[in-house]
This record gives sequence, C-alpha cells and structure tokens, in this order.
Amino acid sequence: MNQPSLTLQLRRNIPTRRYRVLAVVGFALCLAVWGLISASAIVDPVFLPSPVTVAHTMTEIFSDQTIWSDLWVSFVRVTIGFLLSAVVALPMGILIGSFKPIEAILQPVTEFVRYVPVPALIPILMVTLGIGEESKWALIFIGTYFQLVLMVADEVRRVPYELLQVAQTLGAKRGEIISRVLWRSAMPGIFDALRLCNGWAWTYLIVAELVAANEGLGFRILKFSRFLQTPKIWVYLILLGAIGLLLDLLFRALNRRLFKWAESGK
Amino acid sequence: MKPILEVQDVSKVYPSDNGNVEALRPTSFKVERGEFVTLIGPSGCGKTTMLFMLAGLEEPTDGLMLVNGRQAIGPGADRGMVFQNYTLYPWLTVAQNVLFSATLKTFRQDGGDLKAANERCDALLYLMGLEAFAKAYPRELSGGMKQRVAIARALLPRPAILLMDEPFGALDAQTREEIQQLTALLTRHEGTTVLMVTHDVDEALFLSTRTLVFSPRPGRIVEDISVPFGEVRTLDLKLTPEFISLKRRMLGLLRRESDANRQDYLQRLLQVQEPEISHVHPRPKARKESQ
Repeated sequence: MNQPSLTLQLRRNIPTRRYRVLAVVGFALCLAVWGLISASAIVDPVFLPSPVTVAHTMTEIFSDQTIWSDLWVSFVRVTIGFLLSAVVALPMGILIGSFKPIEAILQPVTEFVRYVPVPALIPILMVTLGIGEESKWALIFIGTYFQLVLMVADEVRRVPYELLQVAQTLGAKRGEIISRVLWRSAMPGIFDALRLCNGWAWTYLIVAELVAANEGLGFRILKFSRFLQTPKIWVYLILLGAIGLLLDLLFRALNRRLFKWAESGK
Repeated sequence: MKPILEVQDVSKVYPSDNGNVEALRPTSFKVERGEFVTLIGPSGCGKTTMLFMLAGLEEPTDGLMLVNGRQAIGPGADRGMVFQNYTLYPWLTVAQNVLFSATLKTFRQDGGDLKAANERCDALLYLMGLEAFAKAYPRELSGGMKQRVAIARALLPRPAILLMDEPFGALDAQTREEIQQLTALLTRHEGTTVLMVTHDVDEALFLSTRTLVFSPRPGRIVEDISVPFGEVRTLDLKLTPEFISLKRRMLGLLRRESDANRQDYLQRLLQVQEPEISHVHPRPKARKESQ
C-alpha cells in the first residue's frame, strides 16, 4: 500500500524525507562526475583539480583568517547594496503597481534601464564614484533595483481587484487600501522577490570585486587565478554556492514562518 | 416615510472600440425599508452592473441613486457588499475580517465604538454558527463558511442596504439552502434591506419579498413581482402549489425574454450568413463535393 512508487507522476508531491534524500543524491552525482572527469585526465588537473585536492585546500583555507575577512567584507557590501535597493524599490514598486499614471511614467523607463547590461556601467561608476565601497554598492543597487521594483509592482497588480472593492464598500480610503490590502496581500510575493534579488546581488558583488577591489571574495578569486591556484578558486566557488543556497533556504523558511496564511489550504 | 432606496433613470453605457455597448437602459425603482429584493435575469442583463453602481464601485452613465434620500456617490459602509467569489482577507482571522470596517479611519471619524463593534462581531459569528472559528484563518474554512463570514463582515457596520452579487452561486445545493435560511433569518431579525442578484428562480422566490425581472442586454426591468409568502419561511414552502405556480410564471417570463432575444440574434445571423459561411468553408471545395 505505502510502497513508494517509482513511476514519475506529474506534479505529484513526494514525502519531505525522500525529497531531501534525492537532493543529496543530486549533489553526490555532481561530485561523482567531477571525480570521474579528473581521474580520466581529460582535463588538465591544473584547471580541474580532483575533489580530493580541493577538499585538502579547503581545510587549509578555512584554517586561515583571510577567508573569514573576505567573507565579512563581501557580506557587508552585498547587504548594504541590497538593502538600499530594497528600501527604494518597495515603495516605488507599490506606487507603480497601485496607480496606472505612475506606472506609465516609470515602468517603460525602468524596463529600458533593466536591459542595459549592468557590468557595462562599471567604467562610469568607477569614474564617478571611485574604486571604494560606494561604486560596489551602486553596482549592486543598479543590478537589483530595476528588477525588484518591477517584481514588486507585479505582485501588487496581482492582488485580486475584488479585495480592493470589498475594502471600499467597508469604508476604506485610498491610503488604507494601499497599506492594509495591497501591501498586506502582496507581502509573501514581495518577500519571494527579495529572495531572488538577493541572489542577483551576490552576482553583481562578485562582478564588482573582480574589477576593482583589494579584499573580498571576488578579489581573492582573481588573485588566485593570477597565480594559477585553481584548487583555491574552486573552494571559493563552492563557498559562494553554499552561501547562496543557505540564504535561499533562510528566506524560504522565513517566508513560511511569516506568511502561514498564504499556504494553500484545502 | 421615505423609501430607503430610490433609483431614478439610472443607465449604463460602456464605451468600446466598435461603438458603445448599452448594458442597462434607464431604470427606475424604489425599495422600502426591510424589503428583500432580488434582481433576476439572464447573464449579461445588467443586474450585476446595477448592483455595482449601487455599491458605488461603478459610475452610472446617467440617472440618480438616493439612499435615505441622499445621493449615493462612491462606495461607503452604508451599502455593504457580498461578492460572488470568496473575498475574505487571507492574512486576517475570521474575527479580524468581520471587524475590518471597525479598524478604519471612517469608523473612528463617525464616532464608532470599538467595544460595541467587538460585541456585535461576537454576536454575528454566533448567529452564523462560526463562534468556534473566530481565530481561524480563511484557508481553514469551507466555501459556505467563507461566505457566511463575508456576510457577517458586510453586516457589521449596520449598512442601510446589504448588496449581494450571486453570493451562493459557488456553493453546493445543501450548503446553499442552509446559508439561504441563515441569511433570511439574520436580515429579517435586523430589519436589513437587501438587494440580491441571482439567476436562480428558487432562490429568488424563497428569500425575497419582491423580485425584479430583467431582460437580456440591454437590460431593463420587465416585471416587478411581489413575493407574498410572509415573513417566516421553511424549506417546505418550495413544495407548495403557490410557490410552484409563481416559479412557473417567472420561468416563463425569463424564457420569453431570452427567446425574444434569441430570435433577434437569429435574425441578425441570417442577415450575415452568406459572407460568414464563405469564410468557414472555401467555396470551390464545397462545390466539388456536391458534384
């Protein structure tokens, strides 16, 4: 009866435990493929060191102070840039999603800027803001703001119109409808948009640090590459992936905790 | 005494790319305090448009709507509304949903008493059989329960008129009868004036004291039928000859109107038949087959 079925059923849920086991299997498969490729020596070990070498390097690197300071510097940068972006994008997105004239003024311009490749702005940012922290915050801000503001506006527009109408018939005025209906209803979706943008913020952080920095994860990767220390690069790449995954899980767990009401019921 | 609602020559025309669409012809009617009026008619007959205009959610193209002798402009808590779909706020508990109107600025400005509102909320939930669910979230409720909460929420500010747009349409037959009886009980008990849109003749006759029958688009009132079944009604009423004969009369009316409409459409279809057909079946091929 309770035999786990091995057939793939369209969109059917599976038990959490099995989900986790399969996730671990996914990682194990990657590791196995990596091990096989490096053992078969198709790729020069200078570029693709074996998992064992990387594991050794990892213990080395983590016993040193440098990685922790790199991590801290990068984390502070990304958090400042991301928070600045969120603080502006949330109210702007809510305004764009709430009022069509504001949408008409701001959305097409935002879409335009969104398609300008952000790394192409680096030369201008460095000229205007220098190579200090400000240019890195600015790059992360630009990289995430224009995405986030549109996602927030979308979430606000997705709120069923009838929820607004109900509020009106109960005596709510415009401001109250925005703060008590639109914002509240869109919150879980907006929180999810923040999760996605946080991932992009890390990407732009590394881009910024690769170009001009004297500390941070991206800077260190560039430095390792100058000395052809590929095992160390791999350790940093794995660390970046792990940070991303961790933050993602954190956002998701918080989302579930904060917005229990949004879970689909019966 | 003044009627609680006076509708004078209210009409609605929607502008569209291929000319204007007349949704509702100039319509007039009056509703006395405590009446339960149903608006019935085929889909697209403008009955829902009428209701939304009364709620202040849509503007009439022309005409005047007076509530208690004063012109109703825009939405307000004096006209409560229950929608066809479930419209509870999922982030609020049942009690918080019902109390929503009492937490708004207008409530404070009008000198509302929050303590009294709380007591009224408790009473309404009790009457609706929902007292055990005060702290539950909407996702934990069945469809019928959600709609009962929506009714309680609309009734909390003691609206002059309760407007309902096919509120029981999505419910199964048994739940619908239960909630119909509850609604009748509650609104009669409070003396609430109700305007309800429905396309269910049984529902209209069982609940209302009066039924306005609308014609297909462009809508107008073709008949104003009073439903003389007294105050207290049980489900057995639906089996009485009086009920059935009135039901037959109303079904006849609705059919006559839709038949007339269908004839009209058929006429129009026949006039455009030639080019229409030639689009669907290329002529040469059809000819070949016939030879």
